[in-house]
Amino acid sequence: MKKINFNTRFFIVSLLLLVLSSCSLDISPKDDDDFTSEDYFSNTDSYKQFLAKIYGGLALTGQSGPAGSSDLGSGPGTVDEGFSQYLRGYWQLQELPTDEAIIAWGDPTLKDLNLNTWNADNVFTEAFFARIFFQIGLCNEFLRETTDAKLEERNVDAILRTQIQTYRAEVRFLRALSYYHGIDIFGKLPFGTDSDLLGTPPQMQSRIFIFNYLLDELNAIDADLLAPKTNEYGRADKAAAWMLKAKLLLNAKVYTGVDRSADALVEVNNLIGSVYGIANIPYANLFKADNNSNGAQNEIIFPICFDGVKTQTWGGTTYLIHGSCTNATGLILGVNNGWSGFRTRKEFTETVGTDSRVTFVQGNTDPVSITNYADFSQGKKLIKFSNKKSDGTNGQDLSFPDTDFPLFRMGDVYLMYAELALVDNQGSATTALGYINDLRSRGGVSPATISDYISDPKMFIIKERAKELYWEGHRRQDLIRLGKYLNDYNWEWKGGNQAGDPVDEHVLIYPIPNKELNSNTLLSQNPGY
Amino acid sequence: MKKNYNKLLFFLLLLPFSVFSQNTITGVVTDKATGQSLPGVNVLVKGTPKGTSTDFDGKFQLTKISKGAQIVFSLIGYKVVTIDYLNQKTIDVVLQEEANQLNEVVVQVGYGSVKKKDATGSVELITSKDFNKGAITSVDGLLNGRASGVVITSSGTPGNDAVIRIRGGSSLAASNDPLIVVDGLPISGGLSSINPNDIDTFSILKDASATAIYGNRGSNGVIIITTKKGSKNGVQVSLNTFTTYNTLDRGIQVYSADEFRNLITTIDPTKINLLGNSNTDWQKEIFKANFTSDLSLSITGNLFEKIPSRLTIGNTDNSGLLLTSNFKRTTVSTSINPSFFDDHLKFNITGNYSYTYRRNADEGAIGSAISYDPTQSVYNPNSPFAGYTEWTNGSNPNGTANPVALLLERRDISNNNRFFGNINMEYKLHFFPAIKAILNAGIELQDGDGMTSTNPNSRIGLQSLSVNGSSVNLPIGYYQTTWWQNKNKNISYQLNYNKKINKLDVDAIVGYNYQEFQYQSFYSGNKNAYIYAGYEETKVSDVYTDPGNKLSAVFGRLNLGFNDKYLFTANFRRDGSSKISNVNKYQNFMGYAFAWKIKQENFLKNSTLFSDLKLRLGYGEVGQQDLPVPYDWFKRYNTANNNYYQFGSDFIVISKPEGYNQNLKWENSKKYNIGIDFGVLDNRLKGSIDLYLAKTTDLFSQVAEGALQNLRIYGYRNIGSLESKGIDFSMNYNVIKKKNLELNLNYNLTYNKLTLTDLFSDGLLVGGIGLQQFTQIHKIGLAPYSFWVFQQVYDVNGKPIEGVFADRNQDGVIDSKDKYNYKKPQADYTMGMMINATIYKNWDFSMAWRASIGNYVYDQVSAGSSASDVINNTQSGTLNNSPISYSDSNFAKINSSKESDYYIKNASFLKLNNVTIGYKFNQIFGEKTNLRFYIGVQNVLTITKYKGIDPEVFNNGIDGSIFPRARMYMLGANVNFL
Repeated sequence: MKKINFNTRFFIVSLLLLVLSSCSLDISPKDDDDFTSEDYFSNTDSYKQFLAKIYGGLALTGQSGPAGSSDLGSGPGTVDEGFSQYLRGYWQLQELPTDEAIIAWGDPTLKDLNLNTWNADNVFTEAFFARIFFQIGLCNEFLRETTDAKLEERNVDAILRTQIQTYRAEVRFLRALSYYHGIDIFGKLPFGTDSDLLGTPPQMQSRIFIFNYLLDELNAIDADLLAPKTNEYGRADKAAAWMLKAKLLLNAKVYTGVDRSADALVEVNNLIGSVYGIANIPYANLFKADNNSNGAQNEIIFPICFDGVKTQTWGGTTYLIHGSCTNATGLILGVNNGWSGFRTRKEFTETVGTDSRVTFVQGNTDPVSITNYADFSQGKKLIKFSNKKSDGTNGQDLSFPDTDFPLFRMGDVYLMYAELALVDNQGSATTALGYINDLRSRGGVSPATISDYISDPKMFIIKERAKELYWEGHRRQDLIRLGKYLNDYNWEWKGGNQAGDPVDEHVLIYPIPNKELNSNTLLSQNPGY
Repeated sequence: MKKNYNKLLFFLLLLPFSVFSQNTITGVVTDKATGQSLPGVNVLVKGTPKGTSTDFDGKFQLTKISKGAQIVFSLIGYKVVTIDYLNQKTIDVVLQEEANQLNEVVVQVGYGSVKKKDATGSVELITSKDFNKGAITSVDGLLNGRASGVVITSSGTPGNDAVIRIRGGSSLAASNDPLIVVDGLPISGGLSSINPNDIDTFSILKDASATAIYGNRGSNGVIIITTKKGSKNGVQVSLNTFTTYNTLDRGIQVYSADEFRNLITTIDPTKINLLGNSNTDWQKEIFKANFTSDLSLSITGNLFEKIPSRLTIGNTDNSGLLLTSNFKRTTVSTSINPSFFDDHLKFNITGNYSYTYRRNADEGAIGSAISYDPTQSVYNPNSPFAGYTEWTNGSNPNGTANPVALLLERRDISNNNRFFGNINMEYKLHFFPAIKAILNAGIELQDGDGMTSTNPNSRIGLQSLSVNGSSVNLPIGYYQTTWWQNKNKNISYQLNYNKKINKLDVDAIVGYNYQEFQYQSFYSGNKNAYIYAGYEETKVSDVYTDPGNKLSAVFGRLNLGFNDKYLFTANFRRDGSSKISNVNKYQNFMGYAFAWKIKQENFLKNSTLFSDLKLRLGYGEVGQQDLPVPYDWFKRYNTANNNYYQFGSDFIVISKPEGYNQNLKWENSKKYNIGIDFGVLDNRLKGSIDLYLAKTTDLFSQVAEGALQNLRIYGYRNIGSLESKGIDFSMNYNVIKKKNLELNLNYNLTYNKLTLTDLFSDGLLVGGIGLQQFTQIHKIGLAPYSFWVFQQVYDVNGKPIEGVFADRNQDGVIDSKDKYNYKKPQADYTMGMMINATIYKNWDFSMAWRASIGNYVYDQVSAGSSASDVINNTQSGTLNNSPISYSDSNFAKINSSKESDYYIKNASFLKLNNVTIGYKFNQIFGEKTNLRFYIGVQNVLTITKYKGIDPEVFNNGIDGSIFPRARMYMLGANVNFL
């Protein structure tokens, strides 16, 4: 045998070394806050933490409070984290284009919400659209990760599996809630559920399609949701789902063209028959720092929870309280400063008159009429949400209120009944008047009589809802449902000038953001944009 | 046996002869062109160990030389001269420079080197003679302005790393920093902790035909640094030291106290009561002249007569102009280069250790100094805030903070230890010397800690805390600690094959490379606050562990040379990165280059005009894996550290799945280059010109991914493309080369144009100057970060009319659709020029200029303070000073004009960076010792229209006031002992 010489051997060994040495490029999270899917779900607390994230998505903007690690990213091409907070986004789109509110700030495209002149590049519609679908995406993922098969695979024990079954129903409720907000604001929407594979570009679905889907979905989860008021505070129960159905059905004519007031009445009656009721506390306490415990919790069907220490955000009730006041008024509201943002317009001031549920900032002589909406010293300032507790002390933190936001409350249910009875001829007008006066008497207002509503029940309801529910994020929807948004009712700066103009039909719904259209060719724009 | 006997006999017979004929010879060696004496020429007696080298006057002496011996005179860059010894007493030798000095010069090309004359890619070599002279404390300072196509923006903040861009860079969201390789180790830390005295050469790889060997890290160019090696000669000690006196060149012109009093009287006479009685120049209070000292001692020698070694110890103490800022660096570096078995086994071992200490001054004080009311005194004995004057609202501080207090009452200290070193082992096979095996192993370790604290009694010591439901300012001070640890391991091995087969030169390498980066850090947050609140430390802060980055690659290169005329290079790398999705984890990168040495052709061989001429063509594809996210390609979950949602009475920590992109891939750049290297006038004038075009595709950018397409709404995708084209020109001209005067001119010119050619969402607004206010845009057809502003309307006197902008789209409304592109932050042309002269042998003179033309900046200092609602801030009830540009505009509201083109200013500049004059004393402490003294000025002169502190800014052209670069008056000395 020929001996292989040293050179050849060296060469061969070297080449082998070269070929064989391929180091692994696998990589895994190393930080103790980051996990692979496998590690994450091996912790049995993770399911509830994930659920808390989805609920928290209505209140928080990212993984750090009050800001930081935004869910919507940061840097060029993203939206400002503070602009994107769910409640702030929803509230601005429902309140700023109406007689209830006008904002002074110069943030880009914000003034277009005041003036009903937005376009498809509006920063705030883009931010809210992103928020809705961030929520829906998380819901879908939660449902994908908690199928029976997955739980089986992870050997999840029976007790936790029962809990997860309830979580799943709640997540489906939260998904339905965001879709409801979506069709109310944007009309048609990209649509996808947990049965769609992540990454598949969603199809556009009509308002009617999603409306029908939502009713089916809410009916389907009813059995798995806990009975009214038997769940932990902050989490949804059957009543929350009934309220959502009632909202959908009440607005069905707007969403689908078909009147569903009879069906709406069923849900409203369910709610009135439930353990929730009108809280027998001063009206103002419903919106105070301790409204999770001062009695208001008996009226609040579904809150968005905030906490001055543990659930901090620049949006939410932080925005609603600081944004409504000056530094001086801030002291009255239990916060350390005011951001001088939004106040109300002349028509609202005239509508509510001396109704004692509406508190104007005392001693304020600012003009009712607004000639320059960027000047906060014009227009009447209101007091609604507050970081003071019922006993007059401050919340835990002066920057970040403890105040929870009553997204659904029985006061609204009473007025929905009234509207069904007086406008849609469902239910009893006498009962309706009784409910209206229950709310009035709690607010210290003299009772209404038949003569108040008989000539124009729609205008009566519009006014009554303004008095009871102002600044709670209902106004645009109410005006549209009762036919007062385009014409037939005017307010200062509507349509872009101080006298107020009728607005074109296309502004009934907001545009699909242009960036969204760029990202998915299956989507299309709303008419008029 | 018999034969040996005869030899011995013969030797014995010769012995007396030799003894008798052994003599002493002396002489002087001079340069043929200049007539100057040449020091350091090796003088050897052929075939014997006997030898010496010439002293500083070119003189030598050899004793006991046998008649008939051959004496060889050699010096790198000169033709070797051999003289037969025929008992001459003296010989004067004249050495001639090698016709093509370029020939011997070697450039690094990654995993190896080639002779400069055989280089095919666009590779620029900068050696010590090309370095900037003067008081240089940083490695980038040696290079700034010296290489074409390389733009370096160095900071005035001592110890900060400079921003280096080669040919404009090729990314938007990913890094634009070039890869930096020191002695074979790609480093992750910056250059600021390295002693510039250690640097031997920079090889700058600019085009992709060359950088393809670095594959996924080659897209922004590569700078290969070699450090000085040990010497085979005797012990050599050199000491370099300098001291500089640093002063402020210019600040920002603001109103003086008296002017300010008049201004307030005009704006709002009711505020006169707020004015003070002092005359304070706040910029004078915070910018203090100071000294920098630098000392570096280097010893080279041949350890045990076998191991060429170098040891350098350096110490730098550099205070920035801003009060309290300080940077101290101690470095120890070594290089040992032993070789064994007749140079068949060679080692090159390098180690660099540095300890740096920094005291960071709060640069926010610069803005405060511009704004603070000049009628107020710095100190106020009645002030509750540690005796400093502060604006107050009741008992709470308010408005602009006292800039002196910001500096003196805050301590921000950091200490950093860094070591990096590399072992390079090269083994040439004994029986097959055409093949070499090379093993390269390197490591970089960094570990540091920092501390920030504030005086509890000062304004910045007040901490806002929530106590019993009230937010109160408590004088508890701020105290934060931090630490970090970096680790970078690199290993590569390769086989080289080098053989000349007839007219064909073959040089091939094949190899494997693995590198791994790790990172951990910790920030405590304000410990005083959570101690006060009774929190546990672990609940507040958390150690961050980065997932790290791993890179693995197989690479190869083939160099073919035919007849010393035609050269061909192919570079190959198959690269993998842990940052890239498994789907696209590995990718091939290729670079090809062809060069034609036209000078070698018969028709030019005897040309008297051209002493050198070479044409180069190159093409390559390179990638970029340095994405701003550590891993973005697989699903993971994040649990919040301190963020909860309330369920009942419990607060549940929130956690979520993160969005991810399974298809994440590299940014890819295709780069074309055509270049000419030339030499004329016997190479007294030589240079290069390169034209290039680079196209980056799959540009990594953050885009709206769309509803339900991911678990997030915005994320990184490979969308978009960018084009960079330009011209690099560099030349070196020996203008005068005479006995008593040598004058050398070095000049380079760069033209570069960046254009975005594709984007996901056209018109991405960047350059934020406040909440959702932007002055810049990424837009197709424009350079990245082009200014995007309203067009200011001016009155007949040329004064801007506040809030009045041109309705450019003529729709009757002034809105964001009326914004337009006005200029861009990048320079069209950058230039560098250096003149070096030697006069009467002992005097030396150096002068370096730099210029930048066509670069514009957004003057954020004026845009953020030159308006009466800032000067007279009615919301906080304070008064604020302003740049005197307020008198040009008299704007009432700061927000009316922030996005106006009025604030886009021409920042073209011409800078005289350095003037140095030196004098050398020879033989001062002994025959072979010399001493050179020099004096000079650094940052001598800036010629510009721009009125800010310095037109050369960071932040892509947004000038929010920068840490000024000091004018430095220097005195230095070099001592060499041989």
